[in-house]
Amino acid sequence: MTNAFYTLTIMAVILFVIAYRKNKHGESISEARRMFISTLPLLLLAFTIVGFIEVLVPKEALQDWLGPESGWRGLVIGPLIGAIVQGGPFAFFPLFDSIFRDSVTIGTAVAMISAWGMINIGHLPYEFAFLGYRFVLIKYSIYVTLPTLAGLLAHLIFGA
Amino acid sequence: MNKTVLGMLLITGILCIYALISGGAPLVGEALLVAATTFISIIPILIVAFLLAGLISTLISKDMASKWLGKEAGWKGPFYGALMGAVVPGGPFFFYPLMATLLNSGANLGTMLSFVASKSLWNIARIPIEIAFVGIELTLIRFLVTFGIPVLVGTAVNIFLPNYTDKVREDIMALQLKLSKESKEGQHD
Repeated sequence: MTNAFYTLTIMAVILFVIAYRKNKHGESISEARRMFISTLPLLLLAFTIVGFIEVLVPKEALQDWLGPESGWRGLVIGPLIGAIVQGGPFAFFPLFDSIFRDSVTIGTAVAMISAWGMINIGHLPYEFAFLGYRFVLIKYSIYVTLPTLAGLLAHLIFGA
Repeated sequence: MNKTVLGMLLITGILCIYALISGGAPLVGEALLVAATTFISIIPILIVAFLLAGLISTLISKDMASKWLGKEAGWKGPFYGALMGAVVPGGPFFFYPLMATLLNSGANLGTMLSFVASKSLWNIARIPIEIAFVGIELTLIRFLVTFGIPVLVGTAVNIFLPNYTDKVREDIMALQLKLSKESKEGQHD
């Protein structure tokens, strides 16, 4: 979060200098302001939806679904759980560490971590709002099986 | 009020009712608190992110986007898209609007799918956190197994679904038109 802030700030400063030289800095700022104002309602709704998903997902109950004995089911249930757990890396990885790391197989772990980033349902409000329904259809129809396949691959190669 | 906002309001309403039934008003309060805390903690980054988005959209020319991320980039496009995903920080509130801007400027759909896959699989800011909590061995396995996904996905989409870039672009333009119309109408009120 802090790292992201600093990196984005450095990038913004560099681009601002470039824009200033091209005498486009005023235009950039008014463009930024326009984008911010027009997307603010969408952002507020997206944050609210993600907040609801966060409190409605029963995290501890999820552990019971999985375990070393879940076998093949783990490759399907793991990604499902990964897709519904909300929050950035600082929320997800500690949660994974405390709840799942010691009880799931390598394949399930890889599938769950990949799914959390690739097919997270908390991204849907943003994707619908900014890119439209056809993007969502294409992205999810391609991405939905990939975490499971990655988990399977990890299981076959590394899971003895 | 456009369809996207309406749809999102509807989903918020359903989730709110579900939370009311399963946990009563305190659970709804908790959800709103989570949303508000996340939003407030993210305001500084949000301001910088939008400033950056504004700068990118005025500075990036159609030629540049098309040269690096669009038709002219050819088979290298998904690779550049994936590299970009590895280095660009920030959450979904930032990179989805950025993808819309890049698509409108000439980037291909497949290349943007490479970007978004790499954003979660290759991102250099995320991997240290992953190592810290998940451990180096599992992170390494995860990285190796998923390494090919960003470039493969983007290349496949560019080859097999070439017409969808324009269709997604149409959707984005329609969404932005609605938004700008509304904010203009809002200003006249």
